[in-house]
Amino acid sequence: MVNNYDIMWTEKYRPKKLNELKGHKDIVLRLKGFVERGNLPHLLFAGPPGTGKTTALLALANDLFGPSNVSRNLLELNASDDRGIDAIRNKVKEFARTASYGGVPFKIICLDEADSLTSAAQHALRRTMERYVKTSRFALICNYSSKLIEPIQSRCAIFRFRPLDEVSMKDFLIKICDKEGLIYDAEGIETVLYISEGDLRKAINILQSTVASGKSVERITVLQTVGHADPEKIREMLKFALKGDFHKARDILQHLILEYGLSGTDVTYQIYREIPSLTLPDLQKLVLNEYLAEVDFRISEGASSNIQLSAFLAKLVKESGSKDS
Amino acid sequence: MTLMASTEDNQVVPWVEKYRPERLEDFVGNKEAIQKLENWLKSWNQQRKKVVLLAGPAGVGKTSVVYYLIKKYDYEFVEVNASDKRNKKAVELLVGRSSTEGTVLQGARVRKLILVDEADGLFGNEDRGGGSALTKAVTATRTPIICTANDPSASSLKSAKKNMLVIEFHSLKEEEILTLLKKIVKEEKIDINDETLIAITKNSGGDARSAINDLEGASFGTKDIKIIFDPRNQKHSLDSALNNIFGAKDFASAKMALDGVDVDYRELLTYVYEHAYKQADSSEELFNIYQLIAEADMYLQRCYIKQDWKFLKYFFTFISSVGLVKTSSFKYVKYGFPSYWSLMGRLRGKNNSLVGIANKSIKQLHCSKKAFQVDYYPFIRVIFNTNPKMAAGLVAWFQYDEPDIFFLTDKSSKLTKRILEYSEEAYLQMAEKWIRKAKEMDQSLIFYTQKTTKQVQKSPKKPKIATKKETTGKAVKRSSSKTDNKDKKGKNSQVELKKKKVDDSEAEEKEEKKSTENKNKKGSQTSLEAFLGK
Repeated sequence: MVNNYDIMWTEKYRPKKLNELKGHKDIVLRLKGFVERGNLPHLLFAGPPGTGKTTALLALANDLFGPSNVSRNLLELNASDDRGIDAIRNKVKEFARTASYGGVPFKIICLDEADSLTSAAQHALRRTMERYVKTSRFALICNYSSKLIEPIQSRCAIFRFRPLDEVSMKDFLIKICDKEGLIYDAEGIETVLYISEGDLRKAINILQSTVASGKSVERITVLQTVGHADPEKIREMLKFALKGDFHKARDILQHLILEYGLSGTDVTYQIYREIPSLTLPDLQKLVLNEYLAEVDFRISEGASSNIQLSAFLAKLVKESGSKDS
Repeated sequence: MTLMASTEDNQVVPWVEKYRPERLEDFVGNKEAIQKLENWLKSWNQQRKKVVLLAGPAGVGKTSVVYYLIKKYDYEFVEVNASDKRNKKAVELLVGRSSTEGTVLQGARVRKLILVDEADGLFGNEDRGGGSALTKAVTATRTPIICTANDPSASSLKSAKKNMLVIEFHSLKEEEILTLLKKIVKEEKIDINDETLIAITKNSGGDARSAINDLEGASFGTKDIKIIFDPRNQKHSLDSALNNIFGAKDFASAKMALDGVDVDYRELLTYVYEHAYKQADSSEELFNIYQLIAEADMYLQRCYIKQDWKFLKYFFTFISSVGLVKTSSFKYVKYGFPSYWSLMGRLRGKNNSLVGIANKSIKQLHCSKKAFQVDYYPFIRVIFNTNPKMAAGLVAWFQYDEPDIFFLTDKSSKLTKRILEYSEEAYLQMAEKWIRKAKEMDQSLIFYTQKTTKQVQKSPKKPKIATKKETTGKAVKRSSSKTDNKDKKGKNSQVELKKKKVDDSEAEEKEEKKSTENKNKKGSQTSLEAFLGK
């Protein structure tokens, strides 16, 4: 054992250089071009979670500035930071005002989860992007580019990250397994891939937590571990509702919202993903989806998520008909 | 501390004070309970339970009976009630001290008694810790303590109740209240007809105090019975609103359900949402009910968001029709506090710890707090619950402290202990790794560290290898900042000084650096040596 004490594998195996990036061949090629020329436009990375957007940006910065200068030339702001109009302006101003380190004449300001910026903040950002273009470049990272206003999109070179293909993900996971000296079988890896749905971060986290329990990576151990992880509470909640136990189901719902801090939209999304696997006739699944859509819409309009989702659970109880039998 | 108010015949005193019972005959109900209390007090020295809890609804004479007994047996007494601050300190001060110490007039014939009025209210932010202080006083008291409470099942009384004698008071019967009212009418020589008296009696719901207040109100001004009948208290009117809603038979009665009810809309909605499912017999009914509640919620939120209250009428329509969409009969249930709110209260501290953990983690993981909670937290929890060694690595990496670990192991002290044991080593290993990395990054550092290593090895006082987690953590930081320091110095110290604080970690780094620079070089390098020397 080289290293007994581990860090999160998502960081341990995060590619540090563009060359190490798996998949996204076309994107990597263009980014490398920027590094060679030593110049960048503003960037916009859009794509589903766990596809390597942040990693690509960090690797780009690393290649561009050199490892020792990255931290001084890259400002990372994500949704947890205060990103009101003034906060952005001040932070960016302060950061962009001073010269960059090393040979590159600009710094990079990365706004992760940019789709959570309010449109007012986005409009303010537009001016800022122009004003400091000599000393800094913006890299916006988001899941949906459509949530960014047109003027911002037009100022950026857009890179669309598609879900990672299975082969690249598989290679990556197997590489980790080999380096860590894990015992695994093909079926186990397949299961990880299946559950993570193209989200490499999730895949690696599943792998690490499976191994943490001292198990080899097999289908059954992976499923057991994922059963431990909390998003699976959704499944439990739906199970209670299908059995007709509204009270228990609602109890779990309240814990999901209050304890795990999931938003109403998070929960509806997870339910949406679970509906196809419920043991109900297809027509009823359609009815459920219809109602879920209504609930989702209402929540987005500002209705209370616990009450709206409880109504959905009641609907589920009704559709399963189990309370009556 | 209030001394008993004098109830001598005085026009200024409200009738409830004026007609507070002074003799046993004045009490119109609950005679058994009163007798029981009196017996307990008379033989207090022989009683096993030194504290009494008078439980019962408002206005049935709980406090009055205590006043009566105090007067009869000539006690000096200390009263703590809802209007006083009743946090831990205050309760300790009043109840604790006076109950465990003798009387003020030592040896005199004066006896003391403590009355904790509305003891069920001993919780919440204001009264934090009041309940536990009470529990303590209950077991150690040298003076009789009498508590009163409306809700004897209140959580703050849970532990104290074991050592208390609980005496229950019941709502007064209608004829008892009517007797009382008639007596007052006679005394006051007021002109009021029987119909009004009966109406007041019925409205009081067995609460003598409210009946007397209503009578006083009616005798001065209007004789219009309707006006007298403003709902008396929030809880009552909420309960009756819920009964009306769930019991409504037709649209007209549903619309009436909320007439004259003065409750907060959100509160009403939350209570209906909490208890409605108990009314449903079939899944069809359950869904119909919750569909309506969801719609009521939607329109209520629209009112708030758009600040346009025209939508409120739909809220009322939907919420009051909940009883109409079911065919099964109305069921009586106790309307307890909504679980959503109690969970929210219970989790307040818990969420804070999760946010704290997220704050420590997101820098390393390049993600937001929310992403951490959703993408990482579930898996990190698995690791902490299954693999202490791997967890220790994360502890060193994220710099989690003991409460964080305790939280992540689902409050297992055993696991926490094991992880902490491992984490000392993990910190050392991490420090070595960082130094290795720094060496790769800057060759000049090797030179530097070799030199200092030699220097310190020569010194007779070998610094203790940091064993405590905290000190190790600091040391790691320091050594890393040193490497940075060297690195930068090699490049351009002028630029370095001008550099603005970019983010917290860098600012911290800078501070660290300053302190290291100011200190004796030898001293500041000791911890670095400790790692290298190992």
